[in-house]
Amino acid sequence: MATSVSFPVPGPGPAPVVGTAGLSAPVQASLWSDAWRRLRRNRMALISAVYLVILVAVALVALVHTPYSYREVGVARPYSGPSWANWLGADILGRDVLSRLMVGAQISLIVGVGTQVFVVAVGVPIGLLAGYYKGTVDSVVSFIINVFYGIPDLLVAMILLLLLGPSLNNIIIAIVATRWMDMTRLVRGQTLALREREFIEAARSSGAKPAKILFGHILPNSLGPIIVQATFGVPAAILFEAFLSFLGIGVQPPTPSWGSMAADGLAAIRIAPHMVIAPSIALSLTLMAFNFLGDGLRDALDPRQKR
Amino acid sequence: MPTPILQVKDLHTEFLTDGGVVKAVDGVSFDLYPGESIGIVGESGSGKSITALSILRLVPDPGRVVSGQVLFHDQDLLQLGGEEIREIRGRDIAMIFQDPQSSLNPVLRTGFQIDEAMLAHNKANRKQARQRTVELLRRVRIPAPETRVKDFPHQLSGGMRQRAMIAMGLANAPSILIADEPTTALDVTVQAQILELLADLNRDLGTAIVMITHNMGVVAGLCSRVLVMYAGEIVEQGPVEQIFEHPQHPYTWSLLRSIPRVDALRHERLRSIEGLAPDLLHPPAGCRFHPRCPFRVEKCFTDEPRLQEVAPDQLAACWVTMERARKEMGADDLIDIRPGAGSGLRKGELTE
Amino acid sequence: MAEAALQQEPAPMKAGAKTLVRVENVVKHFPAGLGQSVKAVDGVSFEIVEGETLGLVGESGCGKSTLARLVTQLLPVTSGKIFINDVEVTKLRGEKLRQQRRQMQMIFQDPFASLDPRMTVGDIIAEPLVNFGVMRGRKRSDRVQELLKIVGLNPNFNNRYPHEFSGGQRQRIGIARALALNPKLVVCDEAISALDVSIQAQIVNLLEDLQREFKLTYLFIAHDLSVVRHISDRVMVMYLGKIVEVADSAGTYTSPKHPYTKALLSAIPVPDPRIQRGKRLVELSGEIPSPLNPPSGCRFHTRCPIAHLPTPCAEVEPPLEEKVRGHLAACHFSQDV
Repeated sequence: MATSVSFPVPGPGPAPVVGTAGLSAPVQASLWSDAWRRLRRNRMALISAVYLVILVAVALVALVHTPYSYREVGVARPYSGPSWANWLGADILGRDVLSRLMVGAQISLIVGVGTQVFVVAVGVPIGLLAGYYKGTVDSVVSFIINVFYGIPDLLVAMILLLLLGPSLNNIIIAIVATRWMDMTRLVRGQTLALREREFIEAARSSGAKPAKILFGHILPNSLGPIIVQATFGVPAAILFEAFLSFLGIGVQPPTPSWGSMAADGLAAIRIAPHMVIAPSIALSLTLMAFNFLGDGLRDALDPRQKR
Repeated sequence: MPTPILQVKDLHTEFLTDGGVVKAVDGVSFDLYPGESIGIVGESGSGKSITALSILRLVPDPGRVVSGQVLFHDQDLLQLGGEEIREIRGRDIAMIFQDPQSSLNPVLRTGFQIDEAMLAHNKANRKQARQRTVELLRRVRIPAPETRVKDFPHQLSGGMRQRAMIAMGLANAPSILIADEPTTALDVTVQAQILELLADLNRDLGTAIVMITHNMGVVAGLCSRVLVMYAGEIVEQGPVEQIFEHPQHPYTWSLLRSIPRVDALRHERLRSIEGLAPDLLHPPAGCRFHPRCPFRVEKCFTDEPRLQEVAPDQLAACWVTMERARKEMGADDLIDIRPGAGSGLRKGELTE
Repeated sequence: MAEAALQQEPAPMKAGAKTLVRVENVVKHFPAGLGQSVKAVDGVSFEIVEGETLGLVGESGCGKSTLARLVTQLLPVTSGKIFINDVEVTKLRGEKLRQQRRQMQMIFQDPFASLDPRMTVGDIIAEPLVNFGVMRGRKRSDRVQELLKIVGLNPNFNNRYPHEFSGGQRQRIGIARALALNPKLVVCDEAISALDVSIQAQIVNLLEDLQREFKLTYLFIAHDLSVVRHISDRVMVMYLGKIVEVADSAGTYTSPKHPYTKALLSAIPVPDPRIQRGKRLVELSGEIPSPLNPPSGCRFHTRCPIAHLPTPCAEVEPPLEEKVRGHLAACHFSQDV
């Protein structure tokens, strides 16, 4: 490398390896930590996350301690408003509204998160297979999806609950039956788009088996949209459960659900408005928090913001 | 010396990003004379397209022109109001883009869009406009223009769409046509036809052309003058023959030598420019090319060179220039260049 | 131009070398609905001998990328046979085909799309090793670092993600992945088209160095004839699903025997104002016909400047035959080109 030229050189002469020029980003960052950084800057998403953490904490505390038993009748005068003894007042049977609200949070979270776990468990594999193998598999899956979309949600849920009986598990099953198609369709679309990408071709040409392509390449690259979809699915499921309980075919008494509490309160809205207001506010805040968090996640995980 | 039709003076365009301010165009000045055809060449991120967009104030968010002047007939385009600049666009200065697909509205017939471009600036009636549109399509050599005017953009091939875009650009007989990589997305045979068309328009109609491209061959065929951009700055400018035969900036020199030539007589190793284009968030101190420059000296690390005359009409921003690099560092013997002062493999050193 | 031919270094003779790839009358039709089909590759035969670089050029839609995917068996053929190292890969399915992938790798066009954004560079390069269970643990990570070094990247970059790299660097990562299994054949599908000019030269030089070092055989596909001319021993020109000319690199460029090749050559802008201004463009009339319904006889006759119409050009398909020693062309009037 040493040449015959003698020239006052301050700079490094030979470059040992080609193309080792420094990288622009000084720290290594995965796309996930990048997303986390973006999410932290989103104030509404952050407030929502804090609210949801508190809600989960309340639901956990309610497992071991509530101010009163949620089912104990007559701890206060029926219809009595908020007081020092009963912060959120009492209901028609004189049960403590706060205690019932806390237990209701458990129900809402179990239903919301539980349905999404099953929706992911059902929708993701079916979507992956339909999108990857196309052809007959896809036609069959698409047909079933369209059939499910064709029947009204409420009808599906009511028929299932009538057949299976109204228990918490069956409510989750009923909601999953009306919601799995969204996730399946999303994952199918993602898979259809991703399988044409060059890195999937590259994986095939380097000898990857179909399972590796599906779960090693396509699934990790679809996780962002899946997480966002599941996050938006939680409030939808909570609302649906509240609605079912409001109609009386959901969670059965004496177990409180925010929906059934609101239904009870509606009958007495003139004399005891707190009975409607308390569960409604809890429900609205929770729905809003999940939606804001979903929005934040979508913005944070959106690959379009990245080159 | 005729008076320039367009004068760009010390143009600065910046993008405000998460990481900081990116100086995409950093002090660019040049003159365009009537009927002239100049080329602005550079690689991606050199600021060539942003320079073109800045002239017509079309810089996309979050970019903005922060200082400088763009004088067209003695009025500063950067100071005009929204209505006034829209009048200039398309009437006096037209622009065509790399992707004609995205510049044409897919749900409107091609002929109608050209009519509209004309009617927006002209008092002609629709019938006269249609007549001119057919003429224009014939002029850009679209076969059977009378029937083609009724085609939707997707019914035209890529080359035809670019011709239609050029026809639209010419609708109001502009004095300047800015072409931003108009042939990059096209096949070579189609590219050659489009370039010939542009050369004809330049010659026959006297339309001044600003050609933005990364392809040195395109410039060689079409332009009389060339500006070479690197990292937001003009590093060399001058008459095309002069620049191609006696480039004085090491970047121009190595760029020309890194291109494989179809008419090459023998197989020679390409002289690649090592390293990467600089990160414009943190541009290097001194000369921006110094980290990759095969002929740098001490001064290049700290002091930024200005454009200065290195030959008649030829300006280069370099402390060393190729003349000195040839004499003192044996530049012509280098087969494979490396950053440093005359570093790299020399003839006879490569064992093959 | 004739003078140039005399000065030309003799093309590297690879006679006697072993044939690595044999493509026999390969056809690929894509169904396009209404009983029609896109005739992307329509009866193509050629060979690649060990250690050579065969260039493949043609304009968009000529079928060159499809041909690349047929050779690497990422797409199944409609008919015809492909032999790699005497193994008929077009007959293989499933696991047997997967095993054959070890000897043929591909470098892709888009350095931003061809690397999985969720994987680290180290995992990307190690993937072929993992897929075939080659090397484990420490040995595997050593091999990844070695590969990074071979392609001119810092070996400590293996924990980084693709989005942190520039186009040229990502293409180097793609090359490292292709080399991981010590393949015999590397198919480069427009491997440098998406890169900046100064970076293209880096990658071309790297590919040439690697070929020498690891005795690689390249099928190098590009629309840029100057790059193909530079890197290839022989060049093959495709038009509308057919090969119209094959010759050593010098022959194709100095004395083309097919009017399409001549037109392509005249259209390439040369970075030299004096030559470029004086050049005469061979104008092709019209547009590339639809591959749904290619013209009869010679597919090029609708645009050919020297076609004798209607016969034979519009009626008889010219065979791809030897016109000069080692120089094949498919044209009835190759002497007039």
